[in-house]
Amino acid sequence: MSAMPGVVAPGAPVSPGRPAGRRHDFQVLFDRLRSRSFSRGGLVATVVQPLVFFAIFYCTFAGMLDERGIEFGRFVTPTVLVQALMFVAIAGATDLAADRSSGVFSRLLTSPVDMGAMGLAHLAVVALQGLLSSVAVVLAGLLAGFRFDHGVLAALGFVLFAVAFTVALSLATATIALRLRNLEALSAVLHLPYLPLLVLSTGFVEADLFPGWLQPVVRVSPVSGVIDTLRALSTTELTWSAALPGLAWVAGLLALFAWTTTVAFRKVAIR
Amino acid sequence: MTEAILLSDLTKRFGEQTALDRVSLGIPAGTVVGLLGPNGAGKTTLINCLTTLLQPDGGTIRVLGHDPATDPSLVRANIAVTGQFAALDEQISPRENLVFFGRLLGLGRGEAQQRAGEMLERFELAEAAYTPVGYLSGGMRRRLDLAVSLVVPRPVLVLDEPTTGLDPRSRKLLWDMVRAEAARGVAVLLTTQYLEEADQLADRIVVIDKGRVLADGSSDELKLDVGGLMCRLTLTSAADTAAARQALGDLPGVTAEGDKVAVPMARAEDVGAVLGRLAGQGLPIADIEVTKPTLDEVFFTLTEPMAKETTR
Amino acid sequence: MTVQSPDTAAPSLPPSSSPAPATLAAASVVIAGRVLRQFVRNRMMIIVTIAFPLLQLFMLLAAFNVLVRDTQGVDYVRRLAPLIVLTTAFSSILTTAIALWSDIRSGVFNRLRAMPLDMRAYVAGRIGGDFVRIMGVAVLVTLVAHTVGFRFSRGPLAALGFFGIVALFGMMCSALSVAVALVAQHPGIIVRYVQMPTLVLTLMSSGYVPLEAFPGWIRPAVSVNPVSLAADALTGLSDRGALAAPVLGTVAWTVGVTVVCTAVATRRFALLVKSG
Repeated sequence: MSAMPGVVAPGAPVSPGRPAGRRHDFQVLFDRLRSRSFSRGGLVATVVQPLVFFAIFYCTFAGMLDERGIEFGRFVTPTVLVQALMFVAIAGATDLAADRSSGVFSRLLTSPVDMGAMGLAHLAVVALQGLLSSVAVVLAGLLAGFRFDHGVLAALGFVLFAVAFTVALSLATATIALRLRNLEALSAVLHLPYLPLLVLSTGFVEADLFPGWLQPVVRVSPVSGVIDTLRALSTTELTWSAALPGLAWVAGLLALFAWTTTVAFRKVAIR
Repeated sequence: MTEAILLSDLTKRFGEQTALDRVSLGIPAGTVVGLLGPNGAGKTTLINCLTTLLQPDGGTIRVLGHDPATDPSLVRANIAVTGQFAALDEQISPRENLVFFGRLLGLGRGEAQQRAGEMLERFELAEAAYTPVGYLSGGMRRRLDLAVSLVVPRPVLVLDEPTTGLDPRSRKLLWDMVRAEAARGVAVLLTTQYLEEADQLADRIVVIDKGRVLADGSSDELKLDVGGLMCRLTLTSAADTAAARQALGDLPGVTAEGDKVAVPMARAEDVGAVLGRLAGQGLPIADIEVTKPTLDEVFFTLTEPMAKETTR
Repeated sequence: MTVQSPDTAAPSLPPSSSPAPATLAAASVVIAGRVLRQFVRNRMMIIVTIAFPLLQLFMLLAAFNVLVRDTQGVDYVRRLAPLIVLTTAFSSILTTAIALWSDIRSGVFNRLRAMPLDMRAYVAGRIGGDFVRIMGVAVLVTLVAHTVGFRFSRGPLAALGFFGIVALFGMMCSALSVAVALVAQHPGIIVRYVQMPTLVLTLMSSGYVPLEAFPGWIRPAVSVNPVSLAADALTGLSDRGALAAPVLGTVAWTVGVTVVCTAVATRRFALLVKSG
């Protein structure tokens, strides 16, 4: 810490600056986003909101599922979790858009900030929020009969997979936030797909209960795949055939959207 | 090498439209350069190229010898930028904004805190230090925006219309600050809509329009270039204006408005000839004044032919 | 409440040098026309307010039709269609409140205030414009739902009553949005305090899922929920079920909420005028 430019007395000549390095940049950017996500509003979104939804779905579905011999806690907990993670990804993109419209983004682009650190900090905070939501939903699920049947390793896999899914989704929403300038349009584009994706999956009812023509769509839906993987890692039989589609989806989405986000970021940063 | 900023033949096109057309400009350390031009002249494009937000299509840029195309982060480490619109995190307080951006520029946590406190004092923001930026008034945001740009002193300062929307007090604060920065060797490039501001603040004024540099020099040099001196006459009666114009008819660039007539002159002695002609027609004069043209007049004279060119 | 189409009743100002101020009704119609024009010109808003209810209708029907039929013995579309109509009105609280809020802060409001215009016309116009929109979507949704089995099986009078209840519910929502817009400090607050409660009220109603499917202890809360009452009234008027209690309940909620909101809004408005 020898050439710190900060403690220059007024009137003293200014010495040339140097970038502080990726690790430092990451730390500072991460701190800002983290403190935002641990503010009251941030915690409401990542913890309280999923719990409210859990309670609502419990009230509305538990009775009907019970009549069909399905235990709500075991069946729906992964679904509520996936919904919570979708909200995390949406909120992350909204924050990004807010930074763009407030000009903070441009200021960062004219500051000696490592571009990689900007992306990594965004994803790290999103992953942290995903972790937080996962813990909250799992704890609520345990009260309603959700269990990890396959031991500690599978439980860790469950959480890790949930976090990976959050990151993949956030890359998708970040691409959209970087491409769309109009905030109103962005909000609509972010919020519209989540409900169809969630409802037209095996999250609340089995695929057999959908009309025949829709069943293939429901079966191959990425959300169904992810939910089935989460179920395999917790309450249903842990087999490769159950877990693999979800894993493949998340790996594929991660690769695809990492690429689209990089391209979109380059377009915004270097014109 | 003394030029902190050096632009040569800088060119930027947006589709068919040429926003910057071979702009060359050098700014030595400790100099304030005012960039003047009508709306859409290319000022913001120039600033965006200089601050690594835009990639030029041609020409070179050097900031302390660094090339934004190859060393963007070294350029960014040496420039402080304040854009046309405040660029602040609205959800956090002024203090937190200063600490955040200070740390990003390499300050340690404690240093950034201390520095933030100093800046809040200097920009008269101390009483709002903990209010989220979203709740601040326009003038306060603007001042905070400048404070954030200056939280870590850098050798180059770029200001895009920094005083738009500021009250006179805040404007004076900013001017003093710009002078202080220049005095300690910072190269300052500022765009402005206010000619008075450029006159007051800038060591050198660069006028651009349609992406081209029309003039580059000190305020006095520009005024001399354009018209030398102005003889401003006030007639006792506005009814005489037409007759006065008639009497001065063969002199170039005579303008009249109400009871006022302005005559450009090459030398101060020419005033005798002007007065002689009016006296010859028996036109009484209430007041006479010989001055340099105002910067406004320079600006209009320089940019007008261009405007005509496009209306054709 | 009657609403004139803004096209037919464009006010014709007399060509005198100082025209008389527009009447309350004429001014309201002009304002309502502006609201509707803003809506029609905004492609995103049209998609959200028209496509979203239809999407919801088909999606939820596809997912839950069998489950609800098998366990509750109910034809799901007959419950779902009325509820979707109500959610459209509900979701308009948010958009109207934000639009009102930006009007108030952006200076449009002050400009109107500085004009020889009765400010009640502004509120009436705003609400009237939304009302037309809500009723339009209601008609559209019921028409579309008709293709998948929704029916008015209790006669034309009951069908009229159906839209009457939608109108009442819409009025309650408008009153809420005006009050919220006047109270909120910034739009973020509107989103936070409107989005979640309306969603909870909708989901925790006997609309999506019949009352009997809820656990016993929460049924009392579900049954007095305004969305439940209105949904039950709509189901009663279109299909079958009790009528008196849900209709009276809806009226009571509408009157109650409107009175409270009007009081709050009047107070806040006076405050706003005083503080400039």
